[in-house]
Amino acid sequence: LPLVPLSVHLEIGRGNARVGEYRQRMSSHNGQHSEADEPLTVRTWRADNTVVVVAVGELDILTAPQLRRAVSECLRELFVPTVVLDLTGLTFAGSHGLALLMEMTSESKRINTAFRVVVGEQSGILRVLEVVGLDKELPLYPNVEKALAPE
Amino acid sequence: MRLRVAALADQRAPLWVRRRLRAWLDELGWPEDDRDDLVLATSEAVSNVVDHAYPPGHTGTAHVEARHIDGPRRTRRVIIRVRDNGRWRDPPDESENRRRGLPLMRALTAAMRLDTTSAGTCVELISAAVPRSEAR
Repeated sequence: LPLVPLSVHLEIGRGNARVGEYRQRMSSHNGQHSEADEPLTVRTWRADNTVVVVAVGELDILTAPQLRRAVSECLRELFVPTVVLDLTGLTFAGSHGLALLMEMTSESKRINTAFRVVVGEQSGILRVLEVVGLDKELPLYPNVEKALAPE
Repeated sequence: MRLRVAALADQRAPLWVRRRLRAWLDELGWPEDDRDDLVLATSEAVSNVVDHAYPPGHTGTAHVEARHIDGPRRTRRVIIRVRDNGRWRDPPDESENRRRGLPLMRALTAAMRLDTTSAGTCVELISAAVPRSEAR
């Protein structure tokens, strides 16, 4: 499945990015992420019928509005059947992030779009979701590949 | 060794407090998972100050104080107080956040106390007991 960066500020060339390359780029990006950077970086990628929103950094009261804007724009304006939100690059997630996930899940149901959240297998965000019992209520996936092709 | 932070209660306050508290707990050699739980619980308490304590247009202060105490059988705990001088009020936007912040703080600590008076709100968080470090 070819994934093409959606946002103009992305440094990658158009057209040929694939999941493997996407993963490699995100992991090298993770490696470079430091405190001097913005607390949260949000990037959006597009494949034919899917948009992948990738959030790297800290998701809290300061940065949740930024991610909310990105995800709700995808849900409302792109008319794709599936929106995937990759949170495996988060180093922190608090209750404002949880509220965002709840909101986006209900929003996606309202407009009949599949919304899938990638949280890895033992990440901090997954732990937070388990602590408040939201892991059973949200559409969680261990990785982007599984979220793009469930079952 | 105590940690005292007075942060301007704006949207950046939780981020700033998290960094200070994480560094302080690392210096104490606190176990990583316990450290992350405490940092999250404290971040929620500071976020509550930002959301609830002061009216729009008026920026107050969030005071954070952390100390550690030795417990029985070679254990230790951290006690954290997050204090403001505002009055508890509901945030302007109806978010689902209110239902998650307090449960998170409660779930991630051994004990939590919330005191609200006309002078302000004080949240006290007591960490789970962890072993004392070998060096001591």
